[in-house]
Amino acid sequence: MPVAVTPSPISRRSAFRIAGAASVGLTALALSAGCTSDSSDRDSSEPDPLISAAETARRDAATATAATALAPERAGALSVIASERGAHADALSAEVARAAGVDPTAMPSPSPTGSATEPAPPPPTIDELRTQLATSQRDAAGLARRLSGYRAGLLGSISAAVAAEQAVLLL
Amino acid sequence: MTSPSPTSSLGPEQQALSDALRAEHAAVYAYGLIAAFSNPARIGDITTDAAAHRARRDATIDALTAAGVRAPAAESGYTMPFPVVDPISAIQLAAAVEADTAVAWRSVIERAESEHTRQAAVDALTETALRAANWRAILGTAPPTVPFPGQP
Repeated sequence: MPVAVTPSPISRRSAFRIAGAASVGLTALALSAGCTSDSSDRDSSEPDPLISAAETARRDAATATAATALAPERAGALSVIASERGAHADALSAEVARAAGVDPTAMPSPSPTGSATEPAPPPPTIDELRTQLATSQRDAAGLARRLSGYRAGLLGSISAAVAAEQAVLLL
Repeated sequence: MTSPSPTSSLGPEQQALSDALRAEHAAVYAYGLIAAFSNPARIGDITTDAAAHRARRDATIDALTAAGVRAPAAESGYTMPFPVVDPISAIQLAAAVEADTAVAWRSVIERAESEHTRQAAVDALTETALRAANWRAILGTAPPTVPFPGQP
């Protein structure tokens, strides 16, 4: 099968359009992601489970940043958690894009993490962040068990990282 | 690391588990050295971690044996990545050992063919990430955690 050496500007533009939609809301990718035949997806009619994992990671990052208001003495640890959960969200989004057939290199980096744009409700406590991270750890581990290959490894690694955030950073 | 075992007949999961077992054998050996050179104040953590590696080693031997695979034995000796001469280098070795085993267990997650094996590997990776972060915190590494444990 011949492969075009020079990518046509139209396809590149449309790739950017898809990528732009992804950066605004990952749910935009849900349908197209569901159509790809990734070996790890059991039900191809379901949205990519990594989309909600990415959203959870971004929410945790925002919670960690917001928790600094009530626990400024933990600002260092909280910023590490925000940064790690942001990295998790980026890696998950990149894999969602790859599975959906969007060129990851053409994809602008997703919305900045840890900076909630809308006015936030009362700042979360450290205990609330802990509870949230415990749920995220468990969910990521459960997803790792059900997926396979790179996706399972990524989710397992993320689950392990979130465990260490709770046990060592929030000690 | 070069053992002429009949690896060609192993499936991906069994190969990954065999590699993880080799990493656990090396970890058990290394923790002996770590205990010998460490500050006595750290012996509690070291004993706990060494026991965890022995338990993981034994469970992995059982899993391989149950799958009809001859589990690789420990080597008679191991070369450390750097000289261990004092309490600091002992803890640095502990951190390095945990990083090595993390890579091995993440690989098991990726190559596992059953949920049971993936669950065991996620547990093993999580435990090793916790120990690694603990040792790096003791070493004063900032930050003590990494975003993707087991990513080589």
